[in-house]
Amino acid sequence: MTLDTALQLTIGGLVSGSLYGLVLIGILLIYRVSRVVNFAHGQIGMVAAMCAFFLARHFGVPIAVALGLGLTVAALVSYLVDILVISRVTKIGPGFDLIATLGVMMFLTAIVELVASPKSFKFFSLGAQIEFTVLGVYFNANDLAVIVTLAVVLGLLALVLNKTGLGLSIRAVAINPEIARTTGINVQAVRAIVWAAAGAIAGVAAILIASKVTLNAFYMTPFLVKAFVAGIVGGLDRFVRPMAIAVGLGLLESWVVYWLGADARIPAVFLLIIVLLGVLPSKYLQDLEQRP
Amino acid sequence: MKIRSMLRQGAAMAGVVGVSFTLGATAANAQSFVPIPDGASVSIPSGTTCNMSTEAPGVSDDLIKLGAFTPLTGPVAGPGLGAFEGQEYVFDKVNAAGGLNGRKIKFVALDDQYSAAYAQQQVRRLVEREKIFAISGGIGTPNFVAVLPYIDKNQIPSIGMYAPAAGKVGTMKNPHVYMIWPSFVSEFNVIADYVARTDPDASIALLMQSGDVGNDALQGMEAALERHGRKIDKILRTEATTTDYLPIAQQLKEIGADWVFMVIQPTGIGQAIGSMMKIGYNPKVATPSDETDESFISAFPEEVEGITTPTKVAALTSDDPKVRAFVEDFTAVNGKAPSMWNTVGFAQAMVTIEALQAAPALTRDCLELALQHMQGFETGVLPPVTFSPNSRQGTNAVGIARVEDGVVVQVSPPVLVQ
Repeated sequence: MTLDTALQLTIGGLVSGSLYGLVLIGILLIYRVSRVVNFAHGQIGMVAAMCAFFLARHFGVPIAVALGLGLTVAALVSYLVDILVISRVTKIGPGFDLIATLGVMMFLTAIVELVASPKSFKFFSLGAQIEFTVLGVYFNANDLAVIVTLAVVLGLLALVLNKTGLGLSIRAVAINPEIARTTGINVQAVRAIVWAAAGAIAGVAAILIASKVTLNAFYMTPFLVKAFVAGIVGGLDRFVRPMAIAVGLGLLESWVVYWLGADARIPAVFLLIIVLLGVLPSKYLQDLEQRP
Repeated sequence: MKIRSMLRQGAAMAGVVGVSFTLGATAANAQSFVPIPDGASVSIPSGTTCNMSTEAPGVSDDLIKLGAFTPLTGPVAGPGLGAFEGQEYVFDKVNAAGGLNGRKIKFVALDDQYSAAYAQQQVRRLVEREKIFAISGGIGTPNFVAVLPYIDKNQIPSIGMYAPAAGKVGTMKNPHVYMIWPSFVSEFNVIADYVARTDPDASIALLMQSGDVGNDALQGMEAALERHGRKIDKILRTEATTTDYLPIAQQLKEIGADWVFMVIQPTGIGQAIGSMMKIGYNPKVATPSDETDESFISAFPEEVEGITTPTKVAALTSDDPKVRAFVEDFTAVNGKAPSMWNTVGFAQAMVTIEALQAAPALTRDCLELALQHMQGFETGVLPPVTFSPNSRQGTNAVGIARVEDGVVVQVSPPVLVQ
């Protein structure tokens, strides 16, 4: 194998892994403040991309404005999912939130299919036409945008969570909402902000993914599955470890597909999970179980 | 009488061998409307009988109920909806003209989401609840193959379903299924033969999806290349959920084949070509005929440019009067030009109507008798359709086309595949 091939596979894997990571961020945020595994997360992002696409394509809205409006819609939809669905069903009993988010996922899919037709669309290239070749390795501005976006979103998140009053409130709600409420924190407002922010981040991820694949009602599903794999193995109440696993998954897939073929991609991912869970010290697994 | 009938069948078969999409391109046929099939292609030998006495489900004095299970939602909804529109176009025309001997066609299409499990439910609903007379058309191989035992057990005539599963559909193994589409074995046999003839020194790689579709394509390619003393230089396999085609493109680039044949789902083909372009590898690409559909071309305008594909229906840019008539009339009725999948549905419904027109009685047995004696039926967009009591493959011809400036251009006329 030549150096440029190795670098090409690595950059491709980093880009894929960054996309998994971007999808995962919102899932982790929501789990932190609501203890809800949000299966609708990918489809909320898909709504943003669809809105942006149709606003620009059919109503002549400038692309930047359309993308902004798409993200706003995703934030609003995510907020409404919490207010109208999650906050009600979690009172019924444990497990209903899973069913509810699955229901929302199917509902959003059906709505988009109905409104936007089930065809696939070529999304905006978002910098894919700006190409570079360095040391025989090809990449484009869109690839760079994915990696930079993940870094920026993670940086902003770290800043907000660790250096602001809002971050303190989010962490307090994550630890114990009841105690947080007794200290004067408006738990409902914190949840609303987190759900809306997660929706917007899902929109960012979905827009970047759409620029690389094709836009339809289903294109987010494989990315959501990988994000959940990283989240479950790394711990849904953590950030660094699941994010590292998400990026690592992208790299692993890239190399496995090259060496063993695409057929080996999914078996390799799940083999890795089995090996990881088999060899990880029991302290790590207990830690995953015991964290609130 | 029997000898005369055999001679007629022989003549019809000879016509099929000499098939071309420019069939009947005479001044007499240069009409700008699409004629409703009248059953004239069916010639049932005297003395041949069918069961006329049984009461057929789905038939009343003023109605014939037909059904289809097909993807109307989900990832394959585009083809499913396209073919559904094509069938509706024909049935609406028939109904507007007063129906078939006063009976209107009621067409019930149920969504199977391209899923074998849903197809099992929907075919039972069609037959047992909706009480359809016959199955007309539909799209999808895994969903259709899954219900073959049910169709066989209940002896439901099933006409023109687009399920190109070699060895399972279009053979006497499933005698109630009347196939009018070439399998992937045939498609890739013809296109590999074309490449071997026109580019004799080219190296060839195949990117295939694991499963029946990929295996069928591989079988067809190997058979064609073997005739030329050639073989596939490298085979790469993938699966439907692949999202990142860059590592595959990298592998293909290192192989450096002159031609890359692809048998994967359409969006995968678009992404795989895009990934190859991205790393500066631009081989000639051959894909299944599905990629001649307008929805694929509009979704991947840069990637699709220059690809070579087999064709299963006439190129809609053809000057053939029958193709022109279909395109003009469909456009006038629907306000948009037909897509390849609309054309598939059109052909499916035309064959169904032809058989219904010619059936001695509206029982399933008599409908099948009519189908088995359909000889050289011209839809205008397919080579002539001919079945026989011992053949369930009505036509099996494949042409070659290339996408140039976003338009599907016929490169070579369809040839009959044995």
